[in-house]
This record gives sequence, C-alpha cells and structure tokens, in this order.
Amino acid sequence: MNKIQSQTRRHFLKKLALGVGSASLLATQSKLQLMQSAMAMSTDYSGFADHKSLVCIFLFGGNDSYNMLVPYEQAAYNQYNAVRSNLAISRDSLLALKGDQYALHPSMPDMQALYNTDNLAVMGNVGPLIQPTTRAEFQNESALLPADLFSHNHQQEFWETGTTATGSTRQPGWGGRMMDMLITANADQNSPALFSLSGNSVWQRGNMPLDFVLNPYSGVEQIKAFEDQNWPRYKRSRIAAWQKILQQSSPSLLNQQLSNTYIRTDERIGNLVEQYALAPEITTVFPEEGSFSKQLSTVAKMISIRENLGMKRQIFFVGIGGWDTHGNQLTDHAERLATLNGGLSSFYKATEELGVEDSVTTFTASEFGRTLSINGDGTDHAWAGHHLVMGGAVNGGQIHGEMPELVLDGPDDAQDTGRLIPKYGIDQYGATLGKWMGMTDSDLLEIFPNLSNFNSTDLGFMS
Amino acid sequence: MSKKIRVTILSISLLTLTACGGGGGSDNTGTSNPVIPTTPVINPVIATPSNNDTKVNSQSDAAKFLNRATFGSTQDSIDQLLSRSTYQNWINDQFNTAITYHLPQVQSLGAKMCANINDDGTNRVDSWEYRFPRHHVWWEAATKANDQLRQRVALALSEILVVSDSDGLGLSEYHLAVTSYYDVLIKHAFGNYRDLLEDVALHPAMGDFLSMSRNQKENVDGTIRPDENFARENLQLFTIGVHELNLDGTKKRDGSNNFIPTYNQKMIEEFAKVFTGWSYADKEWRQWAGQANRLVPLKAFEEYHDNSAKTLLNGEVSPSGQSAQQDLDFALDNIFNHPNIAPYISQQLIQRLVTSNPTPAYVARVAEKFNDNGSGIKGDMKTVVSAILLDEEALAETKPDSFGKLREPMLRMSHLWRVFKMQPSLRTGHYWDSDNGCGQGNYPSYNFYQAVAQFNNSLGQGPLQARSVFNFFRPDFSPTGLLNDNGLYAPEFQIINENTMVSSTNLYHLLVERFATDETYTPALEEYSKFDMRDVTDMASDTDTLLDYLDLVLLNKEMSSSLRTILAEHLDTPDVFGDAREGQFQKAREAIMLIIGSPEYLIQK
Repeated sequence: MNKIQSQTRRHFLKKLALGVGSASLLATQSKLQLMQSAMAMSTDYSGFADHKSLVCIFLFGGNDSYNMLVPYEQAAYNQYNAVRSNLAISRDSLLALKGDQYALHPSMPDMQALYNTDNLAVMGNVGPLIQPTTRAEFQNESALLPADLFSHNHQQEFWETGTTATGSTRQPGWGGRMMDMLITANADQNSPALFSLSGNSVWQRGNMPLDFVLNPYSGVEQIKAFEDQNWPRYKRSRIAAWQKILQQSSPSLLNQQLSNTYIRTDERIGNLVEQYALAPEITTVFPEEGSFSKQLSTVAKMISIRENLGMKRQIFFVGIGGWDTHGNQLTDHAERLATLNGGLSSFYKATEELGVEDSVTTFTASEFGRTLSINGDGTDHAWAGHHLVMGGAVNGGQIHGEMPELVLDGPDDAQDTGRLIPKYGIDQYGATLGKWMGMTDSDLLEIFPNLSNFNSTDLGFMS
Repeated sequence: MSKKIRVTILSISLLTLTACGGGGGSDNTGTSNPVIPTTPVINPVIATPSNNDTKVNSQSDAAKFLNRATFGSTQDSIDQLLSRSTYQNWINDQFNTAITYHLPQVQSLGAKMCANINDDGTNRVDSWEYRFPRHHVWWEAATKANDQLRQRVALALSEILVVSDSDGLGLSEYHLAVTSYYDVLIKHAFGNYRDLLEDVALHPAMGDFLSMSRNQKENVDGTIRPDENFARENLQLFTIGVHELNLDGTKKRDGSNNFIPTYNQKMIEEFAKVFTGWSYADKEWRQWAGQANRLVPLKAFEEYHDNSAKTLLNGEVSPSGQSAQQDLDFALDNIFNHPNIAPYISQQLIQRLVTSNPTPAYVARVAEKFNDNGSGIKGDMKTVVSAILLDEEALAETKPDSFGKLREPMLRMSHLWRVFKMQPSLRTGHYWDSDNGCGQGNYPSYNFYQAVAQFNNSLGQGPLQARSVFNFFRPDFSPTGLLNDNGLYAPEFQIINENTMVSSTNLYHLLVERFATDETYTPALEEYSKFDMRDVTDMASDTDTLLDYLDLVLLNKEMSSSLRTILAEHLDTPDVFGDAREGQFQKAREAIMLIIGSPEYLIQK
C-alpha cells in the first residue's frame, strides 16, 4: 500500500472528525454530507458472489491468556511455572497442541482438537498499540501509547475503535466501519447486517446504522402492542396513534434520538421477524447453560437465513463476561474457558451443519491480557494477550506471531510486574480479518487509524 | 480542605474503629431485632440549614421536582409537596424521615420463603434464594417508603459505587450481603461521602466483588504481590476518575492539549498495598469463607497487611508502620482530599437525578458545596443533594434543548407502580416446593408471569444487577446519531437498543393489559399483582378528565398539544370502545400505554 495516499485519507478523516464536536444541528447536516463523500470513496463490493461472516467473541474483563495458552516445551514451561507460582496449570493436565511447543488449558479439549485438525489458529501477543513499542521506548516515554492503559473501559474502547475518545464524541467501531463499506455486497443496503447478541458495543457502531441488537434467546420478536392486526377493534387506531406519536417533532435532542431509535427498530424488525421465524432449526446441540451458547446458536440461525436476507457479508458481536479474574482465578477461569470451549465447539459444528465452516471466521477479543505476576489467587490488568481464530479459512494448527518470554522484568515487560507489551496491534489483527472479508488495503487503512504505523497489515493467520 | 477538617475526619474514623463490631450479629433468621450491618455512623457536623426559599409554584413544578427526588410523582405526593410551600421544607422533612433499611425485611421475608434453610433442613447464613425477597423489598421500598429522597439517592449511589449480583461476578450466592451493602448506601445517603467510602471499602460484598477481602502483602519469596482490583476501581470509578478535572467537571489539558492522568500504574500498586490485610470477621485468614458472616465489616489481619511507607496522590507519603486501619484512613483521606472528587461525584449525581448534560456552571456550583457545606465540611451529602435539586438550572422555567435525561427502566417501572398503586398478592404456600416443613405462607409477593427478580431480562436493568463495576451505563456514553454528533451524553441510552426496545415495550403491554383491574379487589386474595385502575376507569367516561389526570401524574402537566390531540382522537374513535365500563377501562389502558411509550414521557425534563 501507499503510505502517502493513506496519510491523505487519514487527513480527510480527521477533518471529518473535527466537524463532529459542534453543539449545533448544522454539524449533523455537514457531517452527513462528509460521510456521503467518505462512503463514495470506499470500494464497491457489489461484485461479491461468495458468502462470508465474521464473528467477534468479546471476553469482557481481560482474559488471562497466559493460562489459556501455556508453553509445553519443558524449559519454557519451567519459566512459566516459576512466574505463575501457585496459579500455574500443572503440565500433566495441559492439552498439548501439535508440535508440542504449546498447550491449551485443560478446560479446552475441543479447541485442542480443532487446532490439531487445522481449524483453529492462535494469534499471539496482540494488544492496543498506536505504533510498534519496545520496552525502552515505553520506559523513556518516547512511544505514542494508547491512553489510560490497564483500565477496562478505555482499553475496550481502544480494542473496538483503535483509539480512545479525546472529546465528548466517540469514534466509530471497526466492526461497524467494515459493515459501512461491505454493505455494498448485500442486496439491501439499508438492511442491518451487523448483529450484536450482547447489547450495545462501540465496535458495532459505524457511521451508518447497519447494526442491530438481537435477543440471544428469541432472536427478534414483534412489538405485540403495535403488531398489525384487525382485532381488537381499537388496534388499528392504536397503531395509527403510535405512528403519529413517533412522528411528533420536538426541539429536544434527547426526544429526537429516542424517536429515531424507535422508528429504526420499528422499520427493521418486520422483515427480520418474518425471516427468522422461517429459519430451520439448527440440529447441532449447544451446551444448555448460559447466555453464551444461546448467543452463538442464534448467530448460526442468522447465518442460515443469509440468502433469504440477501446478505453476502454479515458480522456478529457476541459477548461473555466474568474474565476479570483478580481472585479465585483457578476455579473461575477454568469455568469460563470451559464455557468458551463448549460454545465455540458447538458453533463450529453448526457451521459444518450449514456447510459454511469455510466462510465463517470466529475470533476472540478482550480488552487486555493479565499480569504474569500474581496477587495470590488472581492476576491483574495488563496489556498483551493471545487470541483464538476459528474456522475452515484460518491457517490453522499454527501459532502466529512472535511469542513473549514469560519472565518478570524481561525484554517484553513494560515494567517489572509482567505487564507484557504487545508485539502486534489491534489494527493489524482487525485488518487481517478485514482482508479475509475481501476488503481493499485502502479501505482498511481508512478503518484502522494506526495501521499505517506498522510494517505489516496482514498477520498471516487467514488463508 | 484545611488540616483541621482532615483531623476531624480522622478522629471520626478512629471512633468508628473502636466501636467496630457493635453493629454485628450473625443471626439472620429474621428476628425482630434487626441490625444495621455497618460501622456505626457518626454524623458529621450538621450543616447550616440551607436558606433556599424557592417556592413550589404549581402542580407542574411539583411533579417535575418529584420525578427527580422520588421514584415517581403521584397525585398525593404532588399535593403534599405543594402543602409544604418550599422545596427546602420538603427536603428537610425528608432528611428527618425515619430510615427504611432493607436487610431486616429481606431477612424476615426470606425466612418465610425458606431462603435461610438448606434442603436438608439445616440453616445457612446467606443464599441465592434471598434474591427473591431482596427484589421484593427493593420494589416495595421504591414505591412505598416514606424516605423517598433517601432511597432515591441510594439508587443513584448504587450506580456509582457499584456491586452486582450478576452471575460470574462473585455475589450471586450472597443476596443478604448485597442487601446489606445497599443499606450502607441508604445509611450514608444523607451522611458524609468520606464515611461512605470507608464503609464501602470494608463491606464484605465489596470485598468479594472487587477482591478487597484477603488481599495480602507481598509474600516472603516475592511470588505474590498485592491485588490491584479495589485500588484501581476505587480511584477510577468511586472517587476521582482517570483525568484531572476543573471544578466545573471539564477535563484539564496539558501544554500539548492532552488530558492529564490523575495517577499512573505505580500509584495503583502503592494503593494496592494500602488495601491489604482485610478479611471476613468470623473466619481465619485461610479458613473456608463460603458461609462467612458478610453482614459485618471486614476485619484487619495485621500479619497480612503491608505496613511499608507508600507514595499516594499528590506525592503524599503514608508513614511506615501503620496498621491496616490507619493506612486505610490515611489513604481514603488522601483520595478524599483530591480536588477531583467534588466535580467527579457531583456531576454523576446530577446526571442520576436531574439531567445528562449539566452545564459546567451547574457542576461547579454543586462541587463547591461538595467541597464546603458552608461550615467547612467536605462531602456533606445533605448539602450536595440539596444543591443538585435546588440549583437554578434544575428549577429554571425555560431550559436548553439538551436538558433532561432518559428515564432509566427501574424508574419508569416504579413510577407506574406508584401512580397505579401496585400491590403484592399474598402467597398461600411457601415459595419453594421443599419437603422440610418450612414455609409459613401468607407472605406478600409481587407475582406476575415474570418474577420481579427477572425484570431485568426485559428491561436491561434491575437493582444491583449491572454487568460489571462499570454500571449499566457510563456517565460519558453518547449514542450514535444526533446526540453523539452534537457532543452530548446520554448514559441511559447505553441499554437502549432494538432488543430492549421490543422486550420492554412487550413487558409494559403485558402488565397494562393483563395485570390491571378496574374492579374493587383485595390484593391479598388475588393470585397475581395488579395495577389499580379503578379511578382512571371512572375518569375515562370523559376523555379530557382522563387526559388531565394522566398529564398531571405522568407528564408533569406538560403534555404537548399534539400528543393530547393524538390521544384524544384515538380514545374518541367512534364505535370502538363503547360506553360500557369494559370500554372505559380499555380507554384508560390505551392512554397509559401510549403515554409511557412516548418520547415526551421517557425523556424526563
């Protein structure tokens, strides 16, 4: 890619962002115009004939990936064992990955199997970065760093947008931005194609309203009070009154925002309810307990009706909490990883059932990894972490990226408590996924604000 | 803050220490002699009574005020406020109203529901099953307690100093502990924020939630260092935030136009050392704590406390050799003295009670009162709450277009319950199908197809049920679209989306259509809880009368003429509702359903 060209684009986007902060309605107007011209600049993806879906699994709280993926080779294990002390997973119980260099936590046998059959890859050593950063640069404060490192919400925001807000307005998320551009691949360019099963995330919000929050249990339901029916006799009159209420004008921006949300919901559920009701049941069995597997089975259902919805590209956001293991980690983390293993495994089987295992890629995200050092029965907020990428299209059975040395005060440690500095930025991780979705380099540079600061825009874990 | 005041507060804390344990009591079988499970409160010096003599001029003004200061305006509460002439009189009444604590009620109701008994008939200290009485009592207090302002401020505090019973966060088995924590917020709602911080830090629910309990100093071989969880979130969320603020809540910037961090990682590590050495009062440090007493404050275990000197905010160093309690007091004073705490907490309380986007001047006026109540005391909540509710911006006749906030789901629900007098039915049997003979029957229970404890599935919110310590929503959340484009915050929109829009609309539809009555009824004899809609059904024979009343109790008498026209057209559609009482009842329900869904109701001004 051409660095100068990317600078120009970013300059343009910066101008776009500047237009946003003003407290006048005019700002919206001008922003819309700028947005339209920005849209016009992105690639036309209407020629796509194939289907691809991207599924983000956000592990809220900061996954301790150093206990999820553990060195198995004896000398490296010893190093890990020394630093993790009584939180170390015993080597005997680990599930070795092929090559025997690394192993998975004992709660993840299905992930071991998927790895060993090349349907799962690990991307190691990823985290929020503005630019490549060394220990020396961190310590002498010469590198530009993400703001408010080690804080949950700030690092979540960075993961989801590639930056942290410096004013009251927020940058869009890269999931949403991808959909802003990829929407040209779909039949209906106004129909939401980014579905969250886990409420509102920043990640899903692009510049255009193409995201939609589903219910993990029921997918999408009709608003019963206003469902179009002849009976009771007052129903039609009620619906008419409701429509008029939503169209009322108000000088209040809060009122307008709420009306818009209602109207958007109203407009968009109809077709989805209809299509969702027609979806064939997925026969793959998902684990019974908990919202996580429900979220994933609903994702599978949405993928199954992609053709009826006219969608070549879909993006999903799934969330699972409870990863902030400051205490009771051995028990709690094992439970979380078992839930993750069970849900992901069933989901992979469901994609096989639907015959889309090669066109659906599932990846993990989490605001930060955790400290190598321990606080007794838990670990604290840190920085770099390892991530799982699952699907037939991944370069599976491999660990991608240069892995860190698990020692305190070592070459990758920001300070002396084992908050390891990532080798690879979120922008690179996301861009690799975006490229697989078929996006052009120029679009990826527009989406990921820090991407041009790195040598490589493709980390190689996708085929 | 002057040195003199800091000393005062320190001595209060020391008194607290010596009296510690007096409020304890592990008997939780619902005895009639309930205890308030916290360190005894010592009220700070009483502030000079505020002389704000702003009159309550109209029903409209009264309703507006009550929707901020209570769980929802009603005809009775509007009349009562008007009869007190000034807002301050009403507020002072509230300051002196007897406190409604939740724990004794939850214990007693829980015992009737057998929440205190294991399947094998043995007693248990706390349990998951207390969830049901906890929610019942919360709704009961929100809708009926006389100390409305205190309860309302406690809810606001529970959204700043967050603990949650959500699965996977450590407290789902400890609903008495969660209740007791809420009582701490109730207790200090009109106390001093500094005392609140102390009781929050030492409450076992917080101890579990942010792993403050059993946080230990670095061990001999150096493989264990202190836990940073409470240290970080206490600074980031409960007190000062991550960036330096001006008095008016705006962020300071350095010479390069960047925000200025209030602390760095090293300082978190120092505070983590401060908060070492605390564990459950009735257990040894390493003893199994599953059934520990979580209703009394954590106890200091000096051998696990790091008593080295620590460098805290503004370079202040805590002396070495201090006890766990001394270090705690020193550090909380250090935090409390930081200039951020006044604007940071004031701004959030304004957002919880009045408006999502207060002007910097409004924040500054409240923060000033936070810093000094007029008698040299910082953190006096009575003064802060009064300043928020009586500020000129809150009471102004004309307000900017950005004024107001989205009614959060709990407050929308509680308002409806208050107006239409939702009553629990009486259960004839015990809650659980247990064979152990417990269960006294005849206890009140809010009963719907969906239990109150499950409301948050549809609403996206329930009391002390946030997904994390970051609450249901962040104070600086701004939804995509008009608000974000204009740089405005709207925290409550963080839980508004297609899913919650549909499911909450469906829940209200269900409640209004199926759980309402237009007949004389005895709640105790009903199987399900019901809205009492007798009065509004009577009124519905005249559309204007009905709409006048709903305008007053639901819309602060500010219903737009266009909404009124839309509603009247619908209600007066010929040959649809008929003159029979059944038709009048439906007319009332139609009006209520449309109003509570309308943007002009949901955006509270």
